[in-house]
Amino acid sequence: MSTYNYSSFPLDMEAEIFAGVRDKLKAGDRAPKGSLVDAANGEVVKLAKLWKDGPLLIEFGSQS
Amino acid sequence: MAQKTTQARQMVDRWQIQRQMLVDDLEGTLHKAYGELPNMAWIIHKGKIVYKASWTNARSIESALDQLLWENKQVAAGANLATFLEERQVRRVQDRNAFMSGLLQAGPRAVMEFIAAAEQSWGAGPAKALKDWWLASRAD
Repeated sequence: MSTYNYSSFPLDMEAEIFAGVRDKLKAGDRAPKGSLVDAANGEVVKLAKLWKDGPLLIEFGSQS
Repeated sequence: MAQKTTQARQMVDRWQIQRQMLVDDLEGTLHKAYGELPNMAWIIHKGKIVYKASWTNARSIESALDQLLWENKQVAAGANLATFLEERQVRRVQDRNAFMSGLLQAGPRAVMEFIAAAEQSWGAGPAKALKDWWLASRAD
């Protein structure tokens, strides 16, 4: 588990991360692009390809 | 990264998740780009953010998707749509026992992220009991 996820642990998350979440990315803004790995098959998936076909719902979660 | 992907598959199995499960990189690049809170939800339409929630809530998401479907019907019918911005603060039913059960099953990182978010959102006081209990249990 020591190698799982970020290099630092969540208690050092800075206050400004939360304070700024309201203004960081707003409705109407261009959605950040990027790639993720499909857990089912290991394939790289581009977010932009997913929203090309229709509305895309993203829900964030974690398990450790 | 293989370890993280394995964890994601276990999460799919444990919760019988039907949706596509995508895994961020080890630095959490997209998690950070999308606000970094533990349980956010977003809807993207034509490359733009149309819905942003600091907490994932099925009722709220259903409402947002209904709006999108309505808009699509209007466009199909030839209506001219104008954009406006809406901001709401809403409430949800809170089942603390069910939530804590799920949070603990999600593992230590999820618990720590939730505590950090609670401290920042509500102040150190309301989160103190949970934090003290969690740190003590980790020390055992």
